[in-house]
Parts: sequence; C-alpha cells; structure tokens
Amino acid sequence: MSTREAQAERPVEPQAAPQSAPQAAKGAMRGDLGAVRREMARRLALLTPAMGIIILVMVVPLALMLTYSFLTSARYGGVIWEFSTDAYLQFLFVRDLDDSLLFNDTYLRIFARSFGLSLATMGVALLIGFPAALFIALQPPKYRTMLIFLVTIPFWTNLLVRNYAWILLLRDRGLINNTLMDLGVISQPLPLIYNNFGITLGLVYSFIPFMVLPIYASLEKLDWRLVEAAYDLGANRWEALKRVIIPLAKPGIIAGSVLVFVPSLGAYITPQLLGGGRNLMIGNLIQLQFGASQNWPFGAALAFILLAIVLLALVLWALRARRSGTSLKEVEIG
Amino acid sequence: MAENIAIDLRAVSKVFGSGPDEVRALDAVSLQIRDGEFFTLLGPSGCGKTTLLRLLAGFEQPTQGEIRLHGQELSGLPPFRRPVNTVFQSYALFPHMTVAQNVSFGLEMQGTSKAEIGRRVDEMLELVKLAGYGRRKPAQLSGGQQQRVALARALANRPKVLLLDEPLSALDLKLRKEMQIELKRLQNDTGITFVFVTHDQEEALTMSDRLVVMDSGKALQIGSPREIYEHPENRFVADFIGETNLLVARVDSADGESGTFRLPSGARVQGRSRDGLSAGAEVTLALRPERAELSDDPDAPLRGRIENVVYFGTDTLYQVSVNEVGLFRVRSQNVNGGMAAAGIGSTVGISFAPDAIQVLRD
Ligand SMILES: Nc1ncnc2c1ncn2[C@@H]1O[C@H](COP(=O)(O)OP(=O)(O)O)[C@@H](O)[C@H]1O
Ligand SMILES: [Mg+2]
Repeated sequence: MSTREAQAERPVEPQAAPQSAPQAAKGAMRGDLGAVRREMARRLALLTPAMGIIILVMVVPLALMLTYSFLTSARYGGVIWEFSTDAYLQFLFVRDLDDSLLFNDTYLRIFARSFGLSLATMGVALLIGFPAALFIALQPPKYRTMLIFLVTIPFWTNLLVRNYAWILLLRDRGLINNTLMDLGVISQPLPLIYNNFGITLGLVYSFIPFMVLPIYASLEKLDWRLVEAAYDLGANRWEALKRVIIPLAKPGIIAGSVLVFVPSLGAYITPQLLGGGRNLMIGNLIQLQFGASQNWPFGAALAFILLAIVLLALVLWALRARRSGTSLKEVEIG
Repeated sequence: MAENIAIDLRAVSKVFGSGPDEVRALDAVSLQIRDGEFFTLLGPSGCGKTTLLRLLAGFEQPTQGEIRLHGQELSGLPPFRRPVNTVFQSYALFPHMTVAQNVSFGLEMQGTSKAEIGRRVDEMLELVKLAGYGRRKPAQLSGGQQQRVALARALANRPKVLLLDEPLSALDLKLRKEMQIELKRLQNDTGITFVFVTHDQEEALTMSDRLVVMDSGKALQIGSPREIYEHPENRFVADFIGETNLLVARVDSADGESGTFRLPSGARVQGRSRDGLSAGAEVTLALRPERAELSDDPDAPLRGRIENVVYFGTDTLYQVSVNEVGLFRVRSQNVNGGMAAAGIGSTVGISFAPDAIQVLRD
C-alpha cells in the first residue's frame, strides 16, 4: 500500500508532525469534513449577535421604509395598505386632470441642487482640509495629537447650537455684517445667509473633520524620505506635492471626500436653518413629506431614490477602482 | 590642481538639538573629494556619515563651515538645485510609480523632452541590467533589483556627484559582492564622482580610490586604501581597519624618518618615525599580524608562548602570549600545505621588518 493511500485512509496521521502547517490543515480539511462543518457552525453562532443587531437596526427599518414607499398615502399622514407606485411616479410626474402623466422637474431640481451643494461642500472641504491635514502631519509629533484633538472640537457641541451660532454671525444684523458696516467697508449688509453660500459654509463647517481626519491618517503614514527623494531628483515643493504626496495620500482624500459628500447630501438641519427654508435640499424635502405634506409613501420613496443613487455612485466608483487594480495585475504578469 | 576638486569641505560642523540634547554629528570636518574618484566615508554606525551626505545633498545645512561643489558655495542652495543625486539607504523608490516612471522622474523635473526621456530611461535600465523591467512596480522587484532601480534613477540626471548611503547593507553577501563590482563598473563607465558610505572596512578598502575614516563626527584619516591600511595614524584607525597588534613603547631615539623604540621587555625595535617625537616619550606602535613572523632567532625582539593556532585556508593565525604585551597575533601565509610552523604550547620568537612598525598619533 502506498503512503498516499494510507494518508487517505487515516486523515490525521501521527507521523505528520514535520509536515508544514498549511499542508496539515489541508489534510485535516480533506479528511474530516464533519469537523470543518462543526467549526463553520461555531463561527456562525459567534456571528449571530452582531448579525442580529444589524438586522434589527438597519434591515428592518429599511424594509419598513421600502414597504411604505409602495403603499398609498392616507390623507392625514400614515398609509393605506394598498399597493401603489404613485410615490415613485410623483418624483418625476404630476397627474393631469385626465389622469395622464405630465413631466415635472420640481423634485429633480431639488435633487440636482443637493448634489451641486454637496459637491461644492466636498470641494471646499478638500481645499481647506488637505492643507490643514498636511500642516498637522508636518508638526512635531507632540503637537499633532493636540491639533487633531482641536479639529474634533466642533463635534463636542450640538449641531443645532452650532448652526444658530452661524446665524448670529452671518445674518444681516449679525456680527460680520455689523462689523463691516461699522468700519464703513460696506453700506448694505452682504447676503451671507439664507442662500446657497450660507448652506455651503454651514455644511463645510459641519463636516470638515471628516475630511481632515482620513487625509491626516494617510499623510501620517507617508514615508517622508520619498519626498526627500523627489527633492533630490529636482522636484520643487509644488512638484513633490503633486507627484508624490497627493498620489500617496489618495486613499485618505477619497475616503474624506466620500465622508463629506454623502452626509451633506442628506443634511437637514443646516439647509433648514442657514438656507432659511427657501433653498430646499433632499433632507428637507423628505422631512416635509413626513411632516407638513403628510405623504409618507413619497417621503419613503425619496429616501430610497437617494439611497439608490448614492449606492450606484459608490459601486460604479468601486468597480472603476477595481478595474485599475486589475490592470495593475496585468502589468505584473506582462 | 584646484579644478580637480569636486567637493571641498572646510571645517564643517553639524550640531543637532540644543542644550542637554545637543548632538555634534560632525565636528570640524575638512576634506576634499577629487573629481571622478570613488570616495568612501567609512566609520562605525552613528559617526556622522549620513549627516555628511545629507549636507552634501542639501537636506541639512551646516552649523559651521562651508561646502563647495566645483568651487561653488552650496549654502542656501535647496536640494533640487544641486547637481547631486542620492541613492538612499532605504532606496526610497516611489511605490506608486513604475520602474520607468521612477527613473524618468528626475528627467521630467529637468524638463527633458519626451523622446529624450524614453531614450535615457532605456539607456539607464540597460546600464543597471534591468532592461524590460520598466513597467513593473518597485514592490514586484527583489531587493537587489530595487537597488539597481535606485541607482538608475539617481544616475539618469547625470549628476556631477552621486551620493550613496550604505547602498549595499541590505543585500545578502553574494549579491553584495556582485553589486560592489557593478558599482565600480558604473563609476568607471560614467566617470561620475561617487561618495560612498559604508561601515564595512573590507568594502571600503576594495572599492575606494580614497577614503576617510570617521569616528564621533571627526574625520580621522584620509588617504588611499593602502595608505590607510599600511600607515594608520592613530589607534582608532589601526583598530577599525583590519587586525592590528598594539605595543606600548618608549622612544629611544628618533628623527623624522625612523626611530628606535624600547619595548617593555627591554627589546629595542626599529620603526618608521614621525615628526615631534622626543626621546623618552611613551608611544603606541601598531603592527599588522601579517607583517610579523614566527622565528627561532634567539635575539627576536618578542618572545612568547603559542596559545592558539587557527587555520584560515589562505593563512594561519597564531595567538602568542607575550610577557608585558599580552596576546600578540601573527598571520603567516600557508605556502607549504598549511602545516603549522609550531604547535600550541611551544615557545617562539616574533620578528618583523623595521618598516612594518607604525607609530600612532594618539
Ligand atoms: N535629525 C537628527 N536629530 C538629532 N540627532 C541626529 C539627527 N540626525 C542624526 N543625528 C545624530 O547624529 C549622529 C550621527 O548620525 P548619522 O549621520 O546618521 O550616523 P551614521 O550615518 O554614520 O550612522 C548620531 O548620533 C545621530 O543620533
Ligand atoms: Mg547612516
């Protein structure tokens, strides 16, 4: 009998001690499927509490919302348990008197404005956040922790309070306009609030730590000798930044951008207070449906359309990143 | 002669930190590196070699003194304006760029035309024997290959001076020997001045045209490998480079050329002298083990008992315990089949030629 057959018969071989660990594991898997299954069951059992929480706090509410979005709106809020796609149709169309559908871009415009404002917020946050993160990363280690701590301080007070503070600063008779007028720099108050400027400013202020922290994390890991190598090869500061620092900080820049863009899109308090209710964003529109308009299915549908768009954008982006990843592997082989 | 000097350091000091944390990494170093030579900075870890290279590259500014490159004062000139390139100890290849992009980086910064860049990158990769590797990423290369990319990248700009900071220390022995030969070939082919850092004395001796031995931020001795090995000027150099026997002696008589020295045993030996020796002064003499030989002459200046015999293949080392001197080492070539001239326990004489004795400056 060959040793191979012997091994097949006796999966756990006593003489297998000098075998390398992976080989031994393979032998065990090949031989003792029952043990493997038990191990899987054990792992599954360990995962159950976490899975339970995720299902309870994420899947159940989302499923509820999805259900509501396909129900019929009751007149004074709530829903009637009757299937309907009206909520989704309402996003793009209005029903004419003869029941035909007319294209209506009101809500699309609000979505477009939200995306525009969120992109602007992301851009401004990046323009401020990257230099800030770079500055912190270049400080001696003992100051860095302190500076990062300072970056997170706005998180310590309530968002509502912070937005009211901005109103006090920005309104026509606010600190900024009053000071400028007292100094005689301007004669009319600057329109700083209740417009897109006010909203963008408020959003940038609210979310900038989400930009600074991931960028700082990737800059802190950066091997600064690479920057010296760039200088050594004739790169000035700007070239070194463009060719070495920014490409190596890219994971942080992307993470920061997503972390600022996505919550901006759903922001509610800031556009409400600093936009003065005149410049709706998606968040306000959704809130309106559950509140004043008492159209729950439409509110739920809006939330799902937003979710779908964001997910689609992230998936497309991830696919693109993966594709450039694969092309790298091709180079590896070629 | 002045136009042949590539690098001229004049009393250069570098102090890091202040107060109790002050570190004097370089202490009034003056040396000249000739155009086109392979010059080595040799010294133990922490003696200031990297600091000296960083001053040349422009990453640090000297605390005192000045550095000239082909006559031009370098102070205040940022690294990217210096016609000097560096092969970093850790290679510092750009991980997000391909090999070709790494090599072309410096050329792009210089504003070289696209066609010329393509040609030069190929030429450089050819030079370091990595033709065809241009599209790989550094992480896909072995340590030795990364080393070559770092070389190609630094040479692509045709610098006046190439600085190499322990470029071979991360390689295994066989690869290191190959790269030593490769580096010499590159230096010959390009004619670029190489400033090479190592803490390996053998590497320094075999590769350099000239070298400086450094310790604690000081340049102790500058010269050709032969000068440094045969005529070490002080105890540190004698000890750091090769094996050496140190003997304490008193000056009997001396002029500038040669002198007579009295050993503790009372024996008188002849040796090379140096200026400023007065009769009666205590001096340390250095004697290389291979310059001494076992002898059965009863008048040999040293006598002792063989404690140990170590066979090395090409030669044999005898450790002889000599009264008032301690363990004295003698190496003799194995020319007659490696049979030991004398066994452990036997008493032998040790003799040497007068020019084998070197008086150290302490
Ligand atoms: N940036 C720095 N700050 C403080 N001390 C330093 C710095 N760079 C080097 N040193 C000190 O200077 C001395 C020489 O260092 P270095 O030039 O790196 O030595 P080597 O390269 O010969 O090993 C060491 O004592 C080191 O600790
Ligand atoms: Mg070093």
